[in-house]
Amino acid sequence: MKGNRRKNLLFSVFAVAVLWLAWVLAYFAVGNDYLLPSFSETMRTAGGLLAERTFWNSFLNTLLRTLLSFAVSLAAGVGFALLARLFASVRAFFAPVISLLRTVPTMAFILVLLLWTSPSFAPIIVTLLVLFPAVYAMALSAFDETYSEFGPLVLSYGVSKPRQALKMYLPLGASSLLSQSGSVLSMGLKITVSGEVLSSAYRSLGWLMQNAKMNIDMPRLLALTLVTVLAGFVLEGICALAAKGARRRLS
Amino acid sequence: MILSGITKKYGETKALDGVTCEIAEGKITAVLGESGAGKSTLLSVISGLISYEGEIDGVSGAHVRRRERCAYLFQDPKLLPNLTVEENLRFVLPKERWNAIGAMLARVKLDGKEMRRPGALSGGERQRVAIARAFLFPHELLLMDEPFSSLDLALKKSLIELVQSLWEEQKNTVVFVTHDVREASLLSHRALVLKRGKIVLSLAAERPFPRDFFTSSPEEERLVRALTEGEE
Repeated sequence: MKGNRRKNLLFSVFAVAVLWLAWVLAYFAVGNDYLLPSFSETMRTAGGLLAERTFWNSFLNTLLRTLLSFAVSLAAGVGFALLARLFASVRAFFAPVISLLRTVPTMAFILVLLLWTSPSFAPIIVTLLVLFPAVYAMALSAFDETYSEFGPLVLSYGVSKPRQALKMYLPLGASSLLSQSGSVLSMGLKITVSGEVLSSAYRSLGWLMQNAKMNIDMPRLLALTLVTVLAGFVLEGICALAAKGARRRLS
Repeated sequence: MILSGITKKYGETKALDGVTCEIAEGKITAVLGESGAGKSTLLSVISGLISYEGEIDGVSGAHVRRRERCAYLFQDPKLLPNLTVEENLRFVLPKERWNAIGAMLARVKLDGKEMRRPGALSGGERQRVAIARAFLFPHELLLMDEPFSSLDLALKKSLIELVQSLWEEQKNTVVFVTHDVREASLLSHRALVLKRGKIVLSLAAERPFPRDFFTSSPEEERLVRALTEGEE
């Protein structure tokens, strides 16, 4: 077990090394610092970002937008998935709605919402509209899995739906939901930043990226991207830890 | 309970093919059969979980309704891992039965383990919780779907004895599905042998409980014959 973990860690380190090597090779191949800065310069710029007040303001705004969208989509997705599990009519109602939300291009959402709402609000709605179907599908699959195991029990004993929801579906689905919500959250961060870039939401990571692009400041643009990726990893890690805690509670 | 001409089809396959029999009230009826004989389908029909053709007590399968007062004992104990033993019982029981939980847990030798989660119990203890749940639930009919099939011999013996003694106290109507001839002869007043969806033998075994686990009964041979006749 411990040996396997060490081996997996080694593979992860190897993957990072491969990515770094690809960057170095690309840097030498391109040979133009304006188009592709060196890795070390990007890291230096990233370090410099951490000392900027504007960066922290922007980062927190972006994080807040992501978390807000995630929280609302989690509450709505889990709530409606629960209703869909308990009532076939709700499931039938949401099937086409979810398909529609999944297939509409994210850019279309952003462009329409930019006309309807403010630049700082549009990324929140866009992220919510993208995350909601993902959370709904994730929660419904977790609840369906619980039903396949305990459905005969609650059916034959006639357990009330509120009791099923509170004592069975929500607690048993929590661990699976938490372990998958890490990837949803980091996807949310990605969508929020995309929305901010397009809407030029003031004081946001997207806004900083847009400014860096306009000033052809590639090290800054890549440093901001790197910070976003790292923030996504941290969010995923927090969710993984929470899922581990939930699983430990169940065992 | 009288079942007349019960037929259940899954596509073109007949899981039950015109089953007609009587489930005696206040007795244990075993339904024996190999895998795919239609045993579990028969339980689902009786509990009203699935539709069927034919009639039960004169009510057509077209008007099937889930039985309100029907307890179920599954092969797997089906205990929620997030709830303690006591909470698992409360989960299915109506509030007025909650005060009987302590006594029942003592009866199934689980006193002191009320606050444990299923993960902290042995396989036998988990099945005891399931038995306690089934007998505590206010039911007119108890359905048991191979509850002992995955247990080792010693555990099987102790749980069969437990069910025998709990039944002696309640004298409820039980339909018990199994593929084990010994289980059927130990724990039933009548055994029905189901083969390819049809009842091929109905055999009474009115000896009193407790029955000796280690001595084979006279009806076992006939049950084995009925089960294996025509098979390679």
